[in-house]
Amino acid sequence: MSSRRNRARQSGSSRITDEQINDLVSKLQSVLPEAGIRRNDRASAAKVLQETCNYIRSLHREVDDLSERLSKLLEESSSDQAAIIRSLLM
Amino acid sequence: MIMAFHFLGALSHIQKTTTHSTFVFRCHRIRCAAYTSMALSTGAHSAWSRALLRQKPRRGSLRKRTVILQRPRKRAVRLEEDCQDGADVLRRLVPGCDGMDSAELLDETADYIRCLEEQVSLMRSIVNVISLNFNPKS
Repeated sequence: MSSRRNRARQSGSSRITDEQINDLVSKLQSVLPEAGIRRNDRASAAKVLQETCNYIRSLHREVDDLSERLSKLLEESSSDQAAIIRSLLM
Repeated sequence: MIMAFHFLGALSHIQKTTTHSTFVFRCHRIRCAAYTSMALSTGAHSAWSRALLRQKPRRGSLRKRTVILQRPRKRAVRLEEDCQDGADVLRRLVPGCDGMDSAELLDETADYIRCLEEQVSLMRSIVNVISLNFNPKS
């Protein structure tokens, strides 16, 4: 009996935050690449967070990789390339 | 657009000043320039951009020019147990989000990801442009 009351009280307070969480999680999901996560599955909030972490890590790796490629290109290129970069700025 | 301006300016400067530097050092400079231009284009309204800019000493440091009104204190959003680990990892991955409550954290994360994607796309375009114009020496 008391457990039922406790459960009722808990679900009362978390109903507000559940909605907030769902909104935020779906907002997050909208920036993730298509990963085949079903949208309205409540239990997938944890999955969305995990996918998000993986995605951020892969973006960091891409930045690292592109920095290396740029570094190599800047090193190998002639001074004409500096002109190209400057022309991209104009 | 702003991001491109900052990043290209930084690249140009890096190329001029690192002709005798090591590959690793130049790489590191480019990487830093990438994150800085991301943060500069976003400005001071995101926690992650402020955190990135605080890491890098700059002349005339970017300060919050507008006063951000105190948001009314909401009850902190608690995620379920199985989400807490994910949220903690996220707090470590996104700069400036230590101790942030979950609602703000998810907001910052979405913003950070969008900016990261823009930066990656910008860097790819630059690599393509330089590669197309580059004639190998041999």
